[in-house]
Amino acid sequence: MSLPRAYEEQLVERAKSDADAFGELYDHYFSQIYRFVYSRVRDQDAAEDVTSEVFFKALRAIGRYRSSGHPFSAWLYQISVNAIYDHYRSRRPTSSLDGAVGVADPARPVVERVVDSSEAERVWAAIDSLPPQQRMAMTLKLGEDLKLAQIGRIMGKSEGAVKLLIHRGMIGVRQRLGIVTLVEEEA
Amino acid sequence: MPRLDGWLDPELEDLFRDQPELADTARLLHTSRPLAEADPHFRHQLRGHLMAEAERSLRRRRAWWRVGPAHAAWSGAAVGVVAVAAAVVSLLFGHTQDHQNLFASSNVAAQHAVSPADVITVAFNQPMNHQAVEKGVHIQPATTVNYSWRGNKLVITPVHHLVGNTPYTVTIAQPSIRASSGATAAAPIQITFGTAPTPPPGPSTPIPPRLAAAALGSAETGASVVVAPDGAVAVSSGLLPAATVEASPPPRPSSPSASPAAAGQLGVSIPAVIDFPAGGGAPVVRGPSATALAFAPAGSLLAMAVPNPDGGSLIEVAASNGGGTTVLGQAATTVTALAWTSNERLIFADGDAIKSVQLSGHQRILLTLPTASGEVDALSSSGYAFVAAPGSTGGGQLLNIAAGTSRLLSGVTAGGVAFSADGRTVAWIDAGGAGSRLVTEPVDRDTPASVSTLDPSAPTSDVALNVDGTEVAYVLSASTGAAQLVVAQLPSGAPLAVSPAGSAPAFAPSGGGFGFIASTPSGAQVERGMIPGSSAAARLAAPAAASSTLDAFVDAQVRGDRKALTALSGPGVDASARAPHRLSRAYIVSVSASSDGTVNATVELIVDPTGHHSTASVADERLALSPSTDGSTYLVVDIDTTSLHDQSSGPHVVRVSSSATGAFTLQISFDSDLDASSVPGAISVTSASGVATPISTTYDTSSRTATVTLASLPAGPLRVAVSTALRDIDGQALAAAFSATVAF
Repeated sequence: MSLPRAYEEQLVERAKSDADAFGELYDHYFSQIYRFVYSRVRDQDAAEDVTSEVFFKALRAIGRYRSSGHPFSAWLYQISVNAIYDHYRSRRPTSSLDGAVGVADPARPVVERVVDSSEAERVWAAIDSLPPQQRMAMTLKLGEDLKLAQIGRIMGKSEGAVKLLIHRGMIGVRQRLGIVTLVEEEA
Repeated sequence: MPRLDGWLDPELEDLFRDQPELADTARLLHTSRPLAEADPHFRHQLRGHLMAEAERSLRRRRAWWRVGPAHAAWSGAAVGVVAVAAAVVSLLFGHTQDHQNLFASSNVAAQHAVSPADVITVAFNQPMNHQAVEKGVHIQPATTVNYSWRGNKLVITPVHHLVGNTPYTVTIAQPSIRASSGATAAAPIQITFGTAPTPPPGPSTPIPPRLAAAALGSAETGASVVVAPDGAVAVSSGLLPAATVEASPPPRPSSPSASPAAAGQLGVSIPAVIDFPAGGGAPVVRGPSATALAFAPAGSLLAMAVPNPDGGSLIEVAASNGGGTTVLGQAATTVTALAWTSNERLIFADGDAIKSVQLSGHQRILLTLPTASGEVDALSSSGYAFVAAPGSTGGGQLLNIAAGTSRLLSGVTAGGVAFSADGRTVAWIDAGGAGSRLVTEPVDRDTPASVSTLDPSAPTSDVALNVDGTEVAYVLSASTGAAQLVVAQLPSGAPLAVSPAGSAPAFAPSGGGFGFIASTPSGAQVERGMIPGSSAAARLAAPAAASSTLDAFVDAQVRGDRKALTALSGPGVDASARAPHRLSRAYIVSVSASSDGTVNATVELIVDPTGHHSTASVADERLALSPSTDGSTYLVVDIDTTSLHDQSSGPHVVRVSSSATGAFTLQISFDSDLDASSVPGAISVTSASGVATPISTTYDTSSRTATVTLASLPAGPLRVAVSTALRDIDGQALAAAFSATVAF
């Protein structure tokens, strides 16, 4: 559930000088952020590490936060995306991500692969190697079930731009899984 | 390519309407997305660390801040009651030119499983007139509370905790919602919530059952015990006859691992850490006497702090499977406290610092204690420590190790602090006042709540908490010098069991294990205790099988589990058709067994209030249970349920039970704090022939329970009645005259 915008803005302002207000923000957004992070790292320890990093970064930076008309969650998601990226960068080179995707058998139909949980992980790992904007749009849509308009607000983009990111992301995932698509991608 | 079946976001369906292969990929990603809920313990811990960090960093920042202009007055067109049913609500709107809105939020709003130990907060977005707001607060069921403010947040702390499994409505009257500026709100606030279905508070029986215990072996005076999840008990300084002991000689730093040796190598005159296995096997010597002990959460490892001749300590870990003892680390001074934070890592405190050590042996300093600080008396699994004040002044600091922040626990004496195994609750003995007070609170919140002890006038010591802070053990010192060990429920303080001469209680880090040291004529003795059931055993004069069926049946009604209801009902009884749907909770008010074997029960079925319907809806139900044909269980054979109706205001009887331990008594529990003076005159007991039975009645405010002692026990079942002469603290009469049949 979203906080009323006016209340959220007041809460964020208070959080700059009131620990309890920050606690209220934490209480409201923790589950959302943890779930988002977990969906990206798929490991409880790593999700806890990254989620901790997200909220500590938010706490340290909230004094500099200026509302740009987007919900506060957009800022938290942005921190999360960066923290997840840092997490992956510290753990393994990008090439290994591609390698993880590459081991999928492109000859097998997608429908057969979904029953295989390790295959499911590889399918989601394909999202990791997408360009950052596509990756974020895909995760917020398919991992968090957010509306296109909400994603647009979080990312500071129009709904149409989000659609384009998801469309390109979906094609990118299929390409990385070795699935041939007949849809031509625009430049 | 074949199509994947399954749900797809309508927006994506629309987006990929002409590209089914992309829709398939979207379904694949959606279907295989990883879903996980965070570990509540992690969430709780992270919040604590963040709050500590926030307090620290904000102290630094505040120097630059400037308070903004005073807020404008309010007025507005809001009408009616504003239900704080969501996390946040806008109460009213100001003049268009100042745009100053008032918001209120509550930590409990619209929740259905609030901990009875929790406080109620109402956070406003601007400074309020504290006295005015407090004056307007009304809580139903009536509850005695204390008020405090943290900035713009009102903290309402129930004096005796909330009642479990109960719907609550907190109202703040409209004229009382007044800002510091003097402007008032245009609508009252109403917050509805329900409390968690924790075990009901036990009755305040005059003579609690004696703690059943099995003697394990001798110990030195002053020894402490710890209990493993499987019930194994280890003593820090035990003494056992050589023939009964398997000896595992103490390891030396140069010999990091040692295997258990043959039995009988250790004489009775050498105090040692002795492990008494759960299954009753031969005790095992784990090493020389230790200054601190702790079982790992999984129970397979026992950590010990063993003094060195040079004044330092060794941190040793013994495997319960006979794998020997390993030295994990050393301390330069005596280790005073030890705790596991996971199965892989433990923390300990010596005179200089609080340190962590991994099973790998990796050791690091978490926090260096200030010079001349007091001793660390206790450590928690969640990373809190109690540091006693230097000298013998009493009191000390509850320290968040990671954050380096602390707060005062006043009046604490040595051994007077304990943490629950989950690390969330702290209990302490406050001996700073005229008497001693048993107090509990969440480790991350400064919201102390007093717990009634069995004898408030007797000095209290040796406190221990169970795994989740729902039970406490403490020692009362009588004027004769005898020490009485008491195990009680929290938050009510209702005693579960007593031992006439016990000390050093300890609960297992999981499960129900309990151990203590008993004083016997032949010296100190290690004992493994059995705590009686907290509810069923004490509350129902009915066969256990009937109680089991009754509990399961009521639970199934709340869950709407038709299959379970059918299985628990006799032939021809359509249970699922009788109970109202969408119940929030239910509780068993009374149970009585008839001489023909039938068990009768009265049950209250409840639908919690909501933002749209601010009063709880209730239905009264009477159940009859009979033994099944083969006698193996009981089945519900008759149901009589009223339709749902709004719950009347005023106090309600929530449970009636009887006890024949020591004297014939009835316990009548209420959901409200009562006007104690109205209780005795409102309760009467009559025999089966209708003759009034002489009684004496007392009322315990902390458990909200009246105890009725019968001068004699007439033949046959008794009828207990409570009249509407009974009043709560707000002067409201009992919601409806009550009567129930009871038997001994």
